[in-house]
Amino acid sequence: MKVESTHLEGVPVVRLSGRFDAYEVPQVRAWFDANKPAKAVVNLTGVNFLDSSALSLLVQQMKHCRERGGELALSCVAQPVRIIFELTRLDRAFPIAISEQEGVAALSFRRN
Amino acid sequence: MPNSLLSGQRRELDAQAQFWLAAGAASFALIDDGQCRQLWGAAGVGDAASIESPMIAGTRTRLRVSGALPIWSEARLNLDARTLGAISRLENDLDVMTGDLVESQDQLLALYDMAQSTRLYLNAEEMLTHTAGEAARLVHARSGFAAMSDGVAVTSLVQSPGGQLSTAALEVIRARCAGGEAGEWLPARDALPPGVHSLYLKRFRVRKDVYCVVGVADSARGVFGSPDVKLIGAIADRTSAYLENALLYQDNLRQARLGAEMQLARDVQARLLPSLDRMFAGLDIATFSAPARDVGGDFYDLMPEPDGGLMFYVGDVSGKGMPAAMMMAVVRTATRTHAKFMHEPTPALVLGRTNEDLYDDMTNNAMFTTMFVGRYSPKSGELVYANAGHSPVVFCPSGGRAVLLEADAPPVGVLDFNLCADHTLRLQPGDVLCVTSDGLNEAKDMGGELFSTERLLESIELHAPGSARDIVARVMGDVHGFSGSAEQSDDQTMLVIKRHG
Repeated sequence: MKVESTHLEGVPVVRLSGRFDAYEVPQVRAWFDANKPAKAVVNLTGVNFLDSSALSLLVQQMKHCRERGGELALSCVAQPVRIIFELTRLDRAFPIAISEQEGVAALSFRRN
Repeated sequence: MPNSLLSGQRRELDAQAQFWLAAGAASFALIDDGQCRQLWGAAGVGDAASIESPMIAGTRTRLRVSGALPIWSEARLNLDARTLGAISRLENDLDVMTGDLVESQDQLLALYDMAQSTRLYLNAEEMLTHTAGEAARLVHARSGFAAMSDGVAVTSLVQSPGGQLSTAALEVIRARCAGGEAGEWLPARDALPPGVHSLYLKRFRVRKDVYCVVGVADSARGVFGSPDVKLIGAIADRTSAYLENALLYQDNLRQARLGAEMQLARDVQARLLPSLDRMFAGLDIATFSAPARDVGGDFYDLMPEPDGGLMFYVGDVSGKGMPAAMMMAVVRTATRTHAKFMHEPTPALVLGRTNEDLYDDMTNNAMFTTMFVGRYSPKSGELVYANAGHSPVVFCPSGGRAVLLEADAPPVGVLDFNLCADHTLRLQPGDVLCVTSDGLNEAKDMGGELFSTERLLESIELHAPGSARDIVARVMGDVHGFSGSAEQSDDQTMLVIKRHG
């Protein structure tokens, strides 16, 4: 899996692609541990599969962001992954945006 | 020299003395450092008429004859003295060589003994202590020591006989024992650890990330020479082989213990998830659960209520294996307690309280748990349920199409407040509720294709006319038939409830 990071309007954006499972979790966790963001957008455009370890990591990082007074938004969630969020109703726990830009905008409306 | 001459060459000296006395000499004597050590013939003959000859160049051991001597006496005495001296020296060399040979044989025997006895030690630390003691004994050192390191730091350092080396000396030795490469250390006098007058140590690799040191301190001979170094080398080779065996044995033992503990854990979990096939409150019930590994994070439970109703739940802790299994036991207990002791429990209230209880634990362990809780009342035929992120839950009305009962809240442990609500469903005779874990719809075939929610719905719909037991057996048969010999990658659990009639 590829992990790329950039900034959009000062907000860190992590772009993930490929299969996001227990084997890939450590490198994504390493990015969060290194950056300790209060706000971040995780772009899941290229992710075609997510297992429960990956979901656990996203939930954990969402909690960390909220502890730091911010929020974690997801963006560009492809259909197979969106279904996973819908079935587990994790779509009620994360702001899910259609673009990185909208994800950043969603962050500014929440919990500041 | 005079002593060894007197003991080793006594007969030669006697013969020489007889010869000189017969040739007219008054006396024949062995002189050392100006003193007469042995005299043949008459004492007190005038010194003026005597001649002397050194036996070995550079020493003060001499032969002396005195009296009226023939003219060839001096040449003859020189010859005799040199011959006797040479014989004596050769015999001395022979003695030393014989001594060395005996010592070597002793050492070989001792090394063999050590090899035999070391085999008995299967604990690495005991073996190190034994090796240190044997090394000291074999090279005649006051103390021996041995250490193991992981290539960076020393993990154990022992000395034998104990208490010979000071703490300060051991600290210097410890520093030399660390490190991840083979090597040796024979320090010069000014580099010796405090209180130690001679030292040699050899560091060698046993296996990846395991290095060992064997060393000796304070030689009885003053310094450690080449034979000692060779001997320690031989001891190191032996030790390396036996230590590797001991480590392998320990690995196997640890593996066996872990295996036995896993088996116990599996038994415990199997008892927490008994097969609950039964008829209860007009319901035909069947269950199935198979962890992907020895133990898993799926769970279910059925709890008859005093009013004749039935509370039941199915959950799936995120992750797999032991961590999920430990959390599963915690969630099961919390849910059971709330379901049992809460005043007028409803599925949503039970889920809400479980979430309150376990939110922090789930957060600290980066886990969450999807959970479906239901309560069936035989009087009304109503099924009240709440679903925290659990999927797939399939409802198949008698003769109708199978549909998913979707969750309305995220899993337990995700949010610190409860979004769950109770929903009601009236069960008609022949209606089937099938609560499974995602290990079924996400089961993969050899090509990596998922069994899928669609196939699961089809399978349940197809087998719904059978008994609860048959539905479990046939749906699982479809899943297993689909995945073939592909490895089961996630826990698989199924609870089937069918209204009788």
